[in-house]
Amino acid sequence: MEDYKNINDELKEFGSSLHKMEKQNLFAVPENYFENLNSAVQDKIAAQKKISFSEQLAGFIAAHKLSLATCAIVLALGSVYYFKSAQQTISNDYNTEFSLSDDELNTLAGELDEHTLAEMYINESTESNQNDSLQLDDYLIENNIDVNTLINEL
Amino acid sequence: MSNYTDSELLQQFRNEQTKHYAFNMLMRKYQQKVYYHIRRMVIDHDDANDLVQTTFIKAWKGLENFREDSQVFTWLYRIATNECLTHLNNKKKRFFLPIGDVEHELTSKLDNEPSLKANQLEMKLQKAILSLPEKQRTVFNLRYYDEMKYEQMSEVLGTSVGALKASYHHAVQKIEKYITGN
Repeated sequence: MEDYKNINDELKEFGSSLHKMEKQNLFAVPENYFENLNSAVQDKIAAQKKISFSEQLAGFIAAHKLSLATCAIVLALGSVYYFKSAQQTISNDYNTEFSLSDDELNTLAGELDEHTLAEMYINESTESNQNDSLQLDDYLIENNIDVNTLINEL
Repeated sequence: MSNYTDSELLQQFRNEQTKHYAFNMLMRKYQQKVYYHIRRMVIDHDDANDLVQTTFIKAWKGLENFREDSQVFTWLYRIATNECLTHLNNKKKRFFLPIGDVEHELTSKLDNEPSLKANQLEMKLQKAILSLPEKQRTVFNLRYYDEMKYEQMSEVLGTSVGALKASYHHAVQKIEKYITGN
């Protein structure tokens, strides 16, 4: 600290009347304040050392609430997007497996001869006739029409 | 109290067995000066108490790595001053107050401070000091009350000696005007 005289001389040089004023300590403190200040600080230092990991974690969460919530939302949206795109990939794969290219179709068409196509047509017609007759039977039964009477009338 | 130098206390602080003892000694040596420096800045005892405790807790954490480029007391004053300025700035931000309103608040605290034992002239001086901008107020307090050398003030505030001399000169003139009512 500087010599008191120097500071007063400086004030005189500035033309200030402050050098005439007696410096007083205006601010009072509670009784035994300075005697207890040391232990108050030491207690706080000790308390800071004792903070457990869980308290530190809780403190971290409390201090970064907003950031953590943002991270959680981003993660949730990311997960949804990931699973959706994974499903889409599977269905795309399925479609790919069962689709045929033009070349494959041409090859298959070449393998089908007239005889095979005729057989397929007859089978489809038979199936179709069978369906028709079943529908006719249902109609006759529902309307109490005797088949034999119908044949005689025809 | 023992007559250890700061350097000896720092050596003891670096030894785990004498660490608490050394810190205790340093606190006892400087606590009053640091407290009154803070109190003059924030006026209120409770605020000053919080800030002086924070200052010494920060000192505890930083003292291990303290290189003796500067003196311990200027380093402590530096921490304390920064804490005060941060505290006053936070007050402004928290309550959206312009600078003048913080000064007004401090002045009214001064008027309502029951523990203050000041005569009329002293009270006028305190109010004149509170009318100064924060940095200028700090400069004035460090020079006038703490009787610090400009070189030491330069360590505390990180400002050149020339700028500090000019700042102190302006502060004294403003206070003189305030007191004489010109």
